[in-house]
Amino acid sequence: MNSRNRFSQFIQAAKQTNILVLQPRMGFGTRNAMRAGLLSVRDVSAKVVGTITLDSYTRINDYEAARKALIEGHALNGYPIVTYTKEETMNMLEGVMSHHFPIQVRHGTPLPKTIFEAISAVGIDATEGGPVSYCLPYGRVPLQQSIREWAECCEYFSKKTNGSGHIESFAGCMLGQLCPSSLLIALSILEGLFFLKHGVKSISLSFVQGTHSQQDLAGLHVLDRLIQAYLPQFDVHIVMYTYMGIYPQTLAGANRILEESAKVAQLGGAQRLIVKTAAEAHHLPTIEVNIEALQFAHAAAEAAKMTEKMMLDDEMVDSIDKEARLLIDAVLDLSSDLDQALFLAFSKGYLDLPYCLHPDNKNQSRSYIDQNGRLQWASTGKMPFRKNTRVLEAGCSVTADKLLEMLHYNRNKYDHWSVN
Amino acid sequence: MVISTINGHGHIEAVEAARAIKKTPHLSSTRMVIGGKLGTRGEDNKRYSQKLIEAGFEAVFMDDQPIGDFTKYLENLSKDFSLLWNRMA
Repeated sequence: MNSRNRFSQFIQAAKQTNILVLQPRMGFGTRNAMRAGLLSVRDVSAKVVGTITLDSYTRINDYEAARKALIEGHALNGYPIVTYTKEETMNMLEGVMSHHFPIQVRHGTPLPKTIFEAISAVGIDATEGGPVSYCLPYGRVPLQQSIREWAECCEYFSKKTNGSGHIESFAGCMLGQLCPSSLLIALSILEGLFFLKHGVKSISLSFVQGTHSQQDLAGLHVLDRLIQAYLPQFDVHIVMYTYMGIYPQTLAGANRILEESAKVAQLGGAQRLIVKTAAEAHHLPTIEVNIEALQFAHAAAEAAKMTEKMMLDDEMVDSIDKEARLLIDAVLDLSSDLDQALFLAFSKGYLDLPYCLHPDNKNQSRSYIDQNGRLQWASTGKMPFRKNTRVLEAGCSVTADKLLEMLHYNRNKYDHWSVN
Repeated sequence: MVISTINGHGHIEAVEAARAIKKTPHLSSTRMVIGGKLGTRGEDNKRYSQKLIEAGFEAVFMDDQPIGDFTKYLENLSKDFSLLWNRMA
């Protein structure tokens, strides 16, 4: 599908040559550092797109705190795009952003109106988020309010970009870890439908690396299949994320998990991969470690083309597919108005994110990692799974110790592997 | 009260939070601890400990510290409480 969106065009062109596009997570408080970071990423010898990650004051709309931190010289954890003037950001981007190096703004804001205004003003045509995925994990903003504001922002962004704006749904990464694939996929499709409804026609859907590569491969396959089923004829691509939970601490462990994600992304048909760095377990990555991670991931993805194809586990595909469709259809049946349906789905517990503490999430579902390292349902709360769906009930409660152990599963697995 | 922080701004915001908690009448004597990624400086985040202790936190846990340090703190805390309880009883 042709797109007029710069970001999407770049991804689709790379797809033609079967090259996985790579993207860092990167944001700096000062304009000089942000520009230097973007330039270094641009010059990596791989297919890369740039990222401007916003700081966490901007994400909670506390622009005064961002301004104060800048004045007092505190290191911000991202770029305060609302605090800088349009001219300041345009100067920062001068000669950096182009068709050859598109840039996406990433944040995590349930109420993103001012951010969309700032993005649109400087001519950036790609961002990330979603009414659910930028709301539930991050705070206490009521879901209803986030849905309303995201709807307005999508319409605003579409208008400002003459219908070419691109939004990536973050739903495939909900809480970073311990959310079973079927729920991630269902939420991604639903947020995709939400974007389309509100005028954004160029989208990407995300999917995060889990604890088991076969399961991830099956998840990517189902996501692709459901995009064909629910979002045909639109400009949609799949973006995979290297593991977003507690990260390996050793260099070898960090490289191993990054390599695995690049392999699964390449073989599973994702078009873009958001990489993490070896510094991740310790502190915010510097420009240098980001560059190393991008180069490493590129080599890993290219090498994966040469290895044998990973076999799809049909049984796994079927069970994820069935569960995801049940969730999507049940939500769509709740109301002819998708905005309303999304809200109702959470209040009824049809969508229920395990371990998510947001007041609008039922928090009755639980997941666990089974003996083979696969993420499974321990209980499904009020989610509309029927008896014919293969939902494994562990029949045991997840204790605090067990939860801690599961949160550290990938760290232990990859750090330990690398010692042996 | 346990405050956990992940985004690297903890060393700034937790000081303000501690101040607000100390000012709240029925919370002013609440024992507070904090842990997580306190800044954006990795191992060098240790430099923020003193500032946070001065702000009123009884203990500061770095994110790379074993969980045992925290559970040990809790165990000692419960011993304190049972001592207190026995004295009252």
